[in-house]
Amino acid sequence: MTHNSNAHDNGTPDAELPKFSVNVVPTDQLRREDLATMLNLYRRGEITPLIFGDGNKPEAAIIPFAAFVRLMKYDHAAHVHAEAAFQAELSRRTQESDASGEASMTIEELAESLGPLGQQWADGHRAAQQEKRDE
Amino acid sequence: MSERRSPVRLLPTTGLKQDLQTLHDAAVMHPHGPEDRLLRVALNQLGRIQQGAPSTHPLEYMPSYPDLSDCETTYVGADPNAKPSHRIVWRERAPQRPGEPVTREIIALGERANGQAYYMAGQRLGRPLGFTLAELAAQREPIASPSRPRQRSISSFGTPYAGEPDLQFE
Repeated sequence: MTHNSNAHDNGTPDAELPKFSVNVVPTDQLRREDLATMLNLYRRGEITPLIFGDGNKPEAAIIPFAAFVRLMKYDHAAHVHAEAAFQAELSRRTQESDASGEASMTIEELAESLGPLGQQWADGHRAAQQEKRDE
Repeated sequence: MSERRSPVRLLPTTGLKQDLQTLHDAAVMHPHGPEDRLLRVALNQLGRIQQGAPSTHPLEYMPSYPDLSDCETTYVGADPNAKPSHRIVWRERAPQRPGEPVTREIIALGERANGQAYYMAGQRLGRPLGFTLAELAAQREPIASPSRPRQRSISSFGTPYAGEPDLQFE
């Protein structure tokens, strides 16, 4: 679906359209024959866009399909842009969270950080490693 | 420090440190008890992992568990006459730059019973049950990926709209 807002952060300025007026076809009393007539007028280019709504309030418009595609393209570009920015931010935060508080350390450092039993183990482990190296 | 010349860079996660701390504190309360032995065995196994030793076995995907198929498990047990009671779950990451050591990220130390260690590891890696890594990766892909199929109407964006005939609503 297309968005109802033009406020997309895709580098396109959120320009205000100049005021314009439209004729709204009321739907509450619209008969099938009236609709056919309206569509024929639209197809001949005499009414474009063809706008429907009740109480003179525009609700929906029949527009050329190419114009609809253009609108979808605009929304899609905005979505892609927003999504790419979102994913970049997500990656950045994931990387940060990977790095934060989870620095690499040796097993001896890890053991020592636990307390007295860990320190004891680290001392023994270092001595054993040293013995191996000396052999 | 000479210890840093190890072939493997050990990366204990915060969760793993908590697991070890809990075990350590229990061991302090019961000197020469099972916790004390288990702590030493666990540290010995972590020392071997740091030295580049292989795991007991790599993990495979099982639907009732979080997908840990990129992880390894190392058995830990303080009683030589019983099945090892605990598991260390870890995974290896390739070096980011040539010449750097591989990183072994230690995710969890937990009980084997009821798969506790594996559920814990899955939770820490943010992996829900019933989703494979491929499925999770697909969900995390940028939606803008050109290779992903989209709704049929959107795929028409590839065609130039200017020359398209106005389709009639029939």
